[in-house]
Amino acid sequence: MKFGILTSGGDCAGLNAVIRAIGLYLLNNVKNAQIVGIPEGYAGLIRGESYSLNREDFEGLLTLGGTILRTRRTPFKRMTVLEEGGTRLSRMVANYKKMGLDCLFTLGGAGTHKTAALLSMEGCNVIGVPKTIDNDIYGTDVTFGFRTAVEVVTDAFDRIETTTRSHSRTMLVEVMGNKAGWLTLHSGIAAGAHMILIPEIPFNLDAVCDFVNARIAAGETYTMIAVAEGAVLDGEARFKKEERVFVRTELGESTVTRHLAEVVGERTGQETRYSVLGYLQRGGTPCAYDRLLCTRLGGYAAKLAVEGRFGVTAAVNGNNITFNALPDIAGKYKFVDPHGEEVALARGIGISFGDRT
Amino acid sequence: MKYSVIDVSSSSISMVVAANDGANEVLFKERAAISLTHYFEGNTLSQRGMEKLAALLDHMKAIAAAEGAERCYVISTAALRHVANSAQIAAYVREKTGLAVNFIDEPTEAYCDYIANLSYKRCERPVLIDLGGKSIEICDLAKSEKAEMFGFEFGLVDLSRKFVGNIYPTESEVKAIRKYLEKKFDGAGVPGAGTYATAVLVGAAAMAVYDIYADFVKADPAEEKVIEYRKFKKLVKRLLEGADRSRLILKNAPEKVYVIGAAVVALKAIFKRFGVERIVVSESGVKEGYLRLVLEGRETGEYVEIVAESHGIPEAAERPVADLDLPADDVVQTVPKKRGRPKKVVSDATRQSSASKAAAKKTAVKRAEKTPAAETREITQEKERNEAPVPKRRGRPRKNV
Repeated sequence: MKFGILTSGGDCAGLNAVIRAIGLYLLNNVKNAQIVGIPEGYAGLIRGESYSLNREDFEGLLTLGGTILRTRRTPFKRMTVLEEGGTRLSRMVANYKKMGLDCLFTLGGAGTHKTAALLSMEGCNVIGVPKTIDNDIYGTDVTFGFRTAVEVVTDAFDRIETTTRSHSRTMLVEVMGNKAGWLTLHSGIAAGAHMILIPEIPFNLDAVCDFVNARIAAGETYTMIAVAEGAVLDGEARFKKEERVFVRTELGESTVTRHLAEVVGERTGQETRYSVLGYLQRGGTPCAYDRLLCTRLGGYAAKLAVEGRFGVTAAVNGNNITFNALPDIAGKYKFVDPHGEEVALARGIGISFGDRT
Repeated sequence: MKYSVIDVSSSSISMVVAANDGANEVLFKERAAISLTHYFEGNTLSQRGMEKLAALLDHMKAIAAAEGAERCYVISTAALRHVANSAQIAAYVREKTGLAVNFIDEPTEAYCDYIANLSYKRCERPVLIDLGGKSIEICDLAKSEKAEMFGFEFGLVDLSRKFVGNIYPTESEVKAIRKYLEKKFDGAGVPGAGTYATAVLVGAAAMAVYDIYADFVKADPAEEKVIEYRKFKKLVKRLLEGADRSRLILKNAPEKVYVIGAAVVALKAIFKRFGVERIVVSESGVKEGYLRLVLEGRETGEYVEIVAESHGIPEAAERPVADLDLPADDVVQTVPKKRGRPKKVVSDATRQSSASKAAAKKTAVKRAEKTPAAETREITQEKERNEAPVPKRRGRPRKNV
């Protein structure tokens, strides 16, 4: 049997570990298994490129950051647009057949899974593995790469906090997460942030400033605020993202963080700074948890292929690795529950979410 | 007292809540997609399938309770009735959720469809068609007895398994499906062209087909749900041959991917059989009919008493949001929290025209609470904005609201 592997979308820690697990499981359990890597995600499949992966190629991948297959964002919206030579989707299907693949493993986030669902619907045998530092893929408790990102962001918080405390400042730390605030929430709680602003809970400017002022009045000398890049003001929440982007672009901003820092500084009188962690959050070596998770997810995905169960994606459900049908999860996101246990407990220990509760 | 009925079909779980107050008005409807077909191993629902089913039923039960329902019935028609491990499924569901599954036989299913759609009786020579995953019912609305309804112990899932090699039927497979249906209809004595003037389609597959159709023809959601044969033929062609067929399905009815090919072929065959030019899609089906029978004391299925939990509806964090080709915030929420049939809810922002953009700009700019620096910046930017042309929106046209 011939198996293809591709990694698509933004990179994260653990991609190589999953590739390794898939490869080793197949080589150990399928007679004469042929494995090919498809470079640069779906772009490579569109071009019809692939190269063989042998046992030695999987050596040393467990701890290696990034992806040996390289990755690229290939917009889902363009997949079915008619171009010269057909649509990208039709070219991928044709190349899948031309390569003689029996199964294609797609390692990626929500967008990757949507395209994987399309490929599956067009008759390709596809198995997804949920990757993203945002942890927003529907149907799985956790995605690989998320825990490592939480570690990285928490560590950054810890370092920034010492400076913030020493200088008696208010510090806003911007964390990745445009649609969902999982990374900000988890790392914010883990780092002891005083306030956490996430897309799921629109914040109120007065509430934010009042909170900081109350801390100052209580004798606290500094405040740490974790801000998701998708955080929105309550007044903005009812508008579409493109409208918010339109306005922010005109203001020379892509997120609310800088602007919020200005306002908080002016209205509290405390020196206020902000820090955007950016791409620091994506790369690097996977943490031990992710290494284990990647190995379990990769191995399980390969097992699904051996069993002939296609059109699915591996998932974590409680302590178990299981699967979801691609049509059940494609195009859906998993959001932080504003009324859920994590948020409620965070509120219980005094963390503010910048809203009027 | 409020009652709820949850219906398990092969591709969705839907629920209706109504008060037993004489008026028996439907107060709430909810639907969630689940691609049960994916979780079958032969004719047996896998352990994972049972887990998914139980989890979703538990979620629905919580929603029903939150809506004030005190008594909950779970029904399943052919979707689970013909499954090899149906007893095991029922036991598992009871263990995990406390709910009792009532397996509805095919004549009762057809009768529930009939009861739920009596309002169409006043139409000219009406016929009711329920294209289910595991059965098909055709009911002459001018008549009223169970015996006068046509029921077929096969459905779209069976047609797909029997005739469709891959996801989309090929030309020869389309012919085979048509021929098979014709033979079955002839054998059962289903009347041909000219007998009926108004065809009414019910069921989850009907809604899925309509959703795809509505997107395809850019139908106005405010108007009556009607499928016109002339346009439908083009849709069938697109779904069987079009480059963007998968996207069309993924966007509108991903859970139906394995049956949508058979569904449109079957529907086209029905159009031709009855010689009608348009088919009305009804929003009421088996569960509404069953609920009505329950409220009238004519059906005595097993039910459980339910109580709303203080912390509200669980799993809200996993609110499914489709984001297939609409802008990120132009999302379609598949778990609307409002009365009436769960229509696709487009965010408030979508409802607003370009005028709202100006309002958005105004509000967002005001967010600085007019600090001196922001004020200066606002004035400059406001001026620039007034002078600058508003950029045209790119991409697909938005859904009409």
